[in-house]
Amino acid sequence: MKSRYQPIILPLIVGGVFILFWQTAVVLSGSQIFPKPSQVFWGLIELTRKGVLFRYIVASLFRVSSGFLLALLVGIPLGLLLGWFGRAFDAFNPAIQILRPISPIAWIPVAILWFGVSDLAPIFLIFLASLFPITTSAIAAVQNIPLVHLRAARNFGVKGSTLFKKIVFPATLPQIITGVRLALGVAWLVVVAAEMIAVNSGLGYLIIDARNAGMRYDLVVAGMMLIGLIGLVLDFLVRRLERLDEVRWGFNR
Amino acid sequence: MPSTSKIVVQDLWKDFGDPRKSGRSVGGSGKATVPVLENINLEVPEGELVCIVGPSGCGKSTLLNIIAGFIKATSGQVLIDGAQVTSPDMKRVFIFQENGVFPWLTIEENVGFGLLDKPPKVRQPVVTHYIEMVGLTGFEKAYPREISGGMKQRVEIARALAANPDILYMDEPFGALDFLTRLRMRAELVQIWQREKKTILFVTHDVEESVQLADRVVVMSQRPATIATVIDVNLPRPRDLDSPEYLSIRDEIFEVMGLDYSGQSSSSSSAKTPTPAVAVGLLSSPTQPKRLDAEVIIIGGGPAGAVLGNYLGCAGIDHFIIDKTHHPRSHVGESLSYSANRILKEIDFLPVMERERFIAKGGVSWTSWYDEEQTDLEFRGLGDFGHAYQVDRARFDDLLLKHAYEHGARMFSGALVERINFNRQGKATGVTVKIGGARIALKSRIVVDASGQDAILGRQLKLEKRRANFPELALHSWFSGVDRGKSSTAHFTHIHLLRIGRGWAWQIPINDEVTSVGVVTDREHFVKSGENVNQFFKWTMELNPTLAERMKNATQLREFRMDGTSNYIMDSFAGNGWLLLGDAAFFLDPVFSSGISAAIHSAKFAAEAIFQALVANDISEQSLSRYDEMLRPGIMVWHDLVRLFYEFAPIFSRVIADSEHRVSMQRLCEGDIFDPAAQHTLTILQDALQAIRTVPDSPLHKSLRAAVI
Repeated sequence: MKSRYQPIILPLIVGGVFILFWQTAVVLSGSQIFPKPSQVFWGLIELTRKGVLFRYIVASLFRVSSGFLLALLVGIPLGLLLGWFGRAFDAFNPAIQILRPISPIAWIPVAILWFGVSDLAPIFLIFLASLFPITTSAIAAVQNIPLVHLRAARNFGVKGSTLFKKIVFPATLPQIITGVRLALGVAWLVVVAAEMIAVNSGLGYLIIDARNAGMRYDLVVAGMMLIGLIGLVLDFLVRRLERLDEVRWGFNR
Repeated sequence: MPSTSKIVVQDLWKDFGDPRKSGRSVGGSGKATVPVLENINLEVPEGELVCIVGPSGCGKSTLLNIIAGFIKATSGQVLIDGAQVTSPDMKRVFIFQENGVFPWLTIEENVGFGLLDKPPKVRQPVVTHYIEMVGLTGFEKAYPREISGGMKQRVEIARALAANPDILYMDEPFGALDFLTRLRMRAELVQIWQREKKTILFVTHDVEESVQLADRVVVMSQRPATIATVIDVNLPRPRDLDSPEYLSIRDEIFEVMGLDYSGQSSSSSSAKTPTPAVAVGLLSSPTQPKRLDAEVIIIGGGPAGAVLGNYLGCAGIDHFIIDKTHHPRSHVGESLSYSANRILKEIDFLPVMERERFIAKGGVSWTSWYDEEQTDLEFRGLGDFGHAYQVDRARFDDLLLKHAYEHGARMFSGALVERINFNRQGKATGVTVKIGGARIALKSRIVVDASGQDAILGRQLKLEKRRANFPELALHSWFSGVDRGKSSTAHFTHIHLLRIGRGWAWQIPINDEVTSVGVVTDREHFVKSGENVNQFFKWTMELNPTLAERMKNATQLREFRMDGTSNYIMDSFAGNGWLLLGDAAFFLDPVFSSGISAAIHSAKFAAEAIFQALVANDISEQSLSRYDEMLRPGIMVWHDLVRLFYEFAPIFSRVIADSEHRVSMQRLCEGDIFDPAAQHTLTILQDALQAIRTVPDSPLHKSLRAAVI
């Protein structure tokens, strides 16, 4: 029988086995540079003591949330409009499809040129990276609204802004949330890459700095693990949105 | 125009623009259109419940959408209370087949949706009233995903009624519900209608449903739809579904729709359209992708089924071919007999054979164990075709099936037939297939079993069969490096007789490199030898010096295949609504390559029988037994021919080669077993063979007594 704790216990076991494997592999290989799990742990403690860990996390989260919120504010209305008005879609979709496959990383030089070495450059990159998944999911969501819902609304005389508020927005919300979840994952990927180059704080900066200043691979790996854990938490939070009554119908769970 | 009717439909026409169909271009615009509705005129008085019934896909839903104002007509108009309809209106609410309840709103929010402009104080009592009316009290705060399909449909009805419309348009609203819920919903709808006195226009494809509900039933024809007839249902409510009046009205509607159906089938020949590529497991049809009935269902896409499909397609008879496998298969029967050409020509397949460069089989050569002579029986001089073909069966079967598809067969590939369905009178009515995880029932007037040795129908009906006592083991594989003997006969089929009780080997060239070699013998030889397959095969190769020589440098290219070739002839080839084709009807020794030839001949006879039966509108056992009568004599000739071969194996080919009747005997061996003269030729051959046995000083007599193991 499936226990209530199974989704917690099984991953913990896998994690334990992984750490054991890691420890053994480092010991057997005799590597002096690659850290053991314990060294990573002490590295984390060291960072906390110095007071940089918390500061770096906040810096990274600040950049992500600014860029990401901006993308939400622009992307959702833009996607809804483009999905609804066929002519606008025809006009703008090719441009979107051209910009979409360009990796945010490729924008780094442009971002530095425009915004210099400041917080604005990574925020811009995150905005760009999350804008496309949000916009395209909103476009697709509008285009996928079942005809029967639109006809029912029309039948009851609903049109204009009421139609958007009462039908289009709620009908598209589940798919938009899926896009938002995707976008947040991408944004978190990008913040780390952006911080490796343009700024002097944040988790990405921690990694590249630890390597450059004295081959501190214990801190490199500690940074990596933090990034992963925070990503997990972010995804968990967005998933909570999927459980809201207004959107649960869109997720077969 | 003054009229007392609530709804008036005048001279309504509707075409769909469909660029995919280039056939029926209308006007000079280049954009092709398909007529959907033709000249619809209809009046519905206030308060009447009218059902529109018609075959699936006929356009009745389109008609309702036009009346409701969702779709524009091509010409003509719809008047409500004398005013032309240009768009939907809250006074006329549409209830959708696919359920238009909003999943993001609770039940009470949904029901109140049409009253949003009213203050909550006015709205709330109305919502409560209608939720109670449809029996959903207690579910006010629930979301649609939490309730059943029938409840959702009731929410939609409540939502419609709460808006207080004059008219309800209902488009198959109960179609997706289970049978019992459907019955209950009908009863509830009638009650609600009697209480609320709305005008209701109800579309359905279900004749029973229409008679249970309606004051009047409008019966529509196949597409392009016209109104075939309007039938008044003057029966008291609640209606007695067993009363003779009910049944006679129901049957009247069925009759109108049924007559129309037969008209459709005869016109389908002219509307045959080539179809796009087959997707695995997909039902493909150019015009009506979801129609699950056909005139004929063919189980099995091997040569027999595919050839029948070709014939039916050419005659414009709508049919399915259900094929369980879409993978290449290896198979005994890689040498096509000469007579197969005739059928391949009739279905216009010879150009494909040439294009695909199958090896031309110029004849059959025979060798024996007791000397090193080779008897060549060439095809030259046999008739219209210079040669037959050697085929890689996987490729050949595939091409033949594609050919059927191009002639209009509707295909189900990767589908497994679970059973053939019969009605109470014992007539085959269709099949149940399993495709992916789903079961689908397909209906047809005639079911043809061409499932090969699976013999699905034979097994299901436990048909009796006559077993023939011929060797039952075939062991074969593909080889490279086989010496094919002298170059003039390199592309012939070679039969090598083995120094063993009953046994022979084939040598069939598949392409320039590959040669198929197989042994046919009694199973007991293998069992007694106690050897494994490889050793046994090797041993049999040594039982004929010519064969041993040819196999000296051979390399095996794929695993051995061992087929248990049980020999049988079913006692009946046809029954009430069904036919057996090819291996599903009979299987006999492959020595004359007649299996595939007889299979595709059986397909031809089946096509004739089916055609006549459909024309005469008589698909009874008696009518279809015509097929049995055409087929059986030939199969019996074949049986006797194989029996003669085993009796006189050492001299069989030599007697033919020396005979003055050589040509007719050769044709017999090449599958002309259905020829009226076949029996006669068989007798001559038998006499010639017998003669050698009775004349001890004839040169061949000694050969007949050549020692075997």
